[in-house]
Amino acid sequence: MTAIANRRAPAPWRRLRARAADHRSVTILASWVIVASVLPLIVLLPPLSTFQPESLWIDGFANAGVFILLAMGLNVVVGLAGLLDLGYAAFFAIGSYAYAFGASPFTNLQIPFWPMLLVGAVVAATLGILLGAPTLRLRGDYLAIVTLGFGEIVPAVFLNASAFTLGTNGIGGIYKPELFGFKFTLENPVPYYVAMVGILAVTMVLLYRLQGSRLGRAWMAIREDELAAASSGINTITAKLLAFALGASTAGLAGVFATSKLTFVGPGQFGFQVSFTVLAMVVLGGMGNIWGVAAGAFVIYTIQAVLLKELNQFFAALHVPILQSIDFVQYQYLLYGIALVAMMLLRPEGLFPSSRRRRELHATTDDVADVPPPTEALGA
Amino acid sequence: MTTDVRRVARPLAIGVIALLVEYKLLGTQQFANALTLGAIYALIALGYTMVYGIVELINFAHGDIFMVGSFLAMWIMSTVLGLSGPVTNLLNLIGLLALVMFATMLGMGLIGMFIERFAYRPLRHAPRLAPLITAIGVSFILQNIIASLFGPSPVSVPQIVPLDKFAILDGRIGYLNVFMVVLAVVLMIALQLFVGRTRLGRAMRSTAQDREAAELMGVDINQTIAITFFIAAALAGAGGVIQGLYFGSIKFDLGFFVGLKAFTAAVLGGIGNTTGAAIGGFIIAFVEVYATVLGYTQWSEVAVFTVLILVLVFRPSGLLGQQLGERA
Amino acid sequence: MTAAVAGPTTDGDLVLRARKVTKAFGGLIAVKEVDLQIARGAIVSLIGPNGAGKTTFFNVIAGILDPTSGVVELGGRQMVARPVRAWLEPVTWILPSIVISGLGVLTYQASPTVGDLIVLGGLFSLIAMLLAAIVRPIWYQTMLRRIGVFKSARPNEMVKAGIGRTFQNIRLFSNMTALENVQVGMHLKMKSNAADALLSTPRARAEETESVVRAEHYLEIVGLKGRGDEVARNLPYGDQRRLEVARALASGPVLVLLDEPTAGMNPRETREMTELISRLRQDLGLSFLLIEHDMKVVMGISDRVTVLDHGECIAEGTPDQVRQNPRVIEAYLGKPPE
Repeated sequence: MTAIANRRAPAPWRRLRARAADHRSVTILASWVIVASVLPLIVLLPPLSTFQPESLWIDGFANAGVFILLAMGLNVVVGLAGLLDLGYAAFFAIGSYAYAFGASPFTNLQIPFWPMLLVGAVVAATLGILLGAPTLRLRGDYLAIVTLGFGEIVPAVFLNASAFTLGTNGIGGIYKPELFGFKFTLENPVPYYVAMVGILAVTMVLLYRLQGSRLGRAWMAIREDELAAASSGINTITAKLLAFALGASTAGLAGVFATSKLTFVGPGQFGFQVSFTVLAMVVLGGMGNIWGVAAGAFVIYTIQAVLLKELNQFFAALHVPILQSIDFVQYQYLLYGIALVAMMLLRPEGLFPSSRRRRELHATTDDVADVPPPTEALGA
Repeated sequence: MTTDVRRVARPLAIGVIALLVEYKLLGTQQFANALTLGAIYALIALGYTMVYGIVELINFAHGDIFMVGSFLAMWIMSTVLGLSGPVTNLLNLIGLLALVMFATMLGMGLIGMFIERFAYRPLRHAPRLAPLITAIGVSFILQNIIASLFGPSPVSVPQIVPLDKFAILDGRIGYLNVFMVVLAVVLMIALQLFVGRTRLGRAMRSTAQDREAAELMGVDINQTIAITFFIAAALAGAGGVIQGLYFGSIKFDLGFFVGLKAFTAAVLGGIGNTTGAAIGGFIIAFVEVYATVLGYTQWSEVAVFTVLILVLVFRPSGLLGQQLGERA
Repeated sequence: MTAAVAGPTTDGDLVLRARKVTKAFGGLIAVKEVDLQIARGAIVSLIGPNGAGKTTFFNVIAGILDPTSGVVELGGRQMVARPVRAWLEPVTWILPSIVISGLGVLTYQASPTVGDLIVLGGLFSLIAMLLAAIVRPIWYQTMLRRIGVFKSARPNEMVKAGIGRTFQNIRLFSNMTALENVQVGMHLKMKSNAADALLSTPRARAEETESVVRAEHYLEIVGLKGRGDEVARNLPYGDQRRLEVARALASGPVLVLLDEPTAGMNPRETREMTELISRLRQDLGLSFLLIEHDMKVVMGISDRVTVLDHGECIAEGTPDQVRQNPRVIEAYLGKPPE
């Protein structure tokens, strides 16, 4: 077994991973600090630096953070608890409007950004519970279609209840965040970027703690076999509802942040495309793997926001016969659709699979007594 | 025998009562509208219910199959047949309609079988989440293919049926309405006869009851499921033809809400139950038209969705319970 | 079998008592008026030919199926029966909020602010009732009892009341490790909540560490010592059965339901499983209800045997009594044994 473990990874790397497993929260925070400081440097390198100026890149990264947050939240529902939520954008919308109501000239309120993060999360979670309570006892596919409907209805309500939401026009002039007297501005994306990284790092620490807790285990059990989970004493409905509420609250958080950055909110921002994009991010990243999902979201967002446009310009500049006339931005959802089907058929565990990861960490830890699994002992 | 009588009498009674209430509330003209809309929903709901009954999958792409059907019909009429205005010769009209209907249903049936073969069949034994996510993916693929072929804005459909109306009772209704409803009812009866009387229909019912047992008894499961998808998609295609002729314009994302409403109809009628799906379709159409009559057009979708949640909470088995997909 | 005069005092040493349990699926009666009693520390077996309704009866006891009629009591408490006035429950969720919101609308004329607040309160009462319906706290259950609503315990509530079970076709969490499987079984015994987990409180961490130790203990009891890190799916068949027993034990039951615990096992594994059951009864004072086809196992360890045929109980007694019962010989074996 030691031989096998050694073949898998060199000793120092193994020790590092063991230490990282022991201090997971610190590891995550440190990783985010490293990623956040390296990213602005990478975009100064040639091909990327020619696409757009650095400030636009950083602005884009802050926006990508919103989608990473959404993907991590949806991952709790879909990846950890195994519930298909197709109307996830509804909770994003609820968080967004919560901030618009709390801090805009429209309502004459000016609640600061930071407590509003919490408020947005709580409001979204409450509505998640309201929707989930009657429907979570149903079979999974019913839940999917109910959330699909919910995802359409919430923007419709924001659109039609124009006395409270200004309808299609949306609510504008929403106040920007402020920290110890330092005001965030549209000209400088760096504060948003830093704040986003902070929110992401903390959220990820919390999600990893949940995943490793009694509740995370219950979700895993429900995902594998709901009847067996209930027969082992898990209150499956409560557990599923918690997953739903936690996923919704993360979306609420993302909504508050996105609105504070955009300073505008309208019902058109929360169509099914948003839910679908986030689902594609989760599936591609690898359902259940928090880091994988974050990476998936980042990759897809960057492709969608930057690379597709670049592809257009690239082919147009070279006058490639057919490709130059194709607008790749227009085809992004077709690509997502194909990607979803292809992933499910060929690689359902995602690009960054999770299932083995934790177990392998266990097996390679030095001081755990190594017992050969029977398959290996038998040479099978 | 008594259960047989009950099986026929109960849906019949519910249907008649529902229709009477609808007529009373809506008046002749709106009633005709509701019936036509209901015919469309019913045809789509049948597909949801049949597929669910046999493979226990909510085929999210079904609404989009309906949408593709409406575009296929539009394409056949305008490009292949070169039609643009009303056809006044009755015999010609009937012939053309039959041709369009047949071609669309055949084409959509094949597309449905194709989707089942390549997107769903490989996942038949995968965890539940996988086919659902695939269905969502298929739905998006269909929408975006149509959007890139015909553009993202509404496309008008040649109105080959004259918009003449005739007076009846206290209102005037179009021949088109009558034709649509009759057509839908004929298709539904044909489906009932097919499922109830033929060998393939029996194979479908036995597969829905217990797939393994059916397989042991020599039923070709793959073939049966493929035929189910064929019929479901063909019916949705028929709905698409009606949609185009009735509303005059179609759009690439039309399958989304229509699909959601048809699914609500299927659940309301009792998912897995074909008669229930038809009745549910007419009820949902009624709710929608009634909301419009009361002046709440933009809330009609909210109303339908509320119906869906209420049914799921209070009577998940629907109005007619389960007949096709009964499983412990 | 059961005397009609059963008062609460005579139930003192009974762990489980099922009275006239009937379960019909449409027109098919799978279980018909079956009585069963299990005394503390007893091993009771349920036998019968295939399709006799054993597993259906099992599922009724485990809270998975609602019976058509009849009652299951656990430690003298009625846990499972046909639901009574179930439609009233949703009414209790909605009614308070309608009443409160109505009050709000009425007061709106006098003072819009107060009216709004009251309507908001109505909304919150709806949320509160929905939450209560999910968590089912004591006051909620009491309220339901007061208005005459009875709903059978859910499977997880049966576990809480002291029933652990295994399945005929093994239903482990196959992608989780053996240790995690047992930890899932301990879910009920752990106290830390989501907030503890988010903040990673000392209590949560201590409990997590302790749960590993205890899970390893349960693995040791069933003979899987040191195999905790293996993925359940990769375990040999017999070990999977034993792991399922360990998971059932982890919830701290008084009664364990074993659905064909030795099915598909070789003679050695069967012997080990039989010994395990006897030992668990001796060491932990557990009671057992077994569905079993292997007559050697049944006759070897059972205190009482109940025989089902076509959903009906045709015999009940000690293994010796049952063995000699002519109806059993006729119905169950079809022909006399040599």
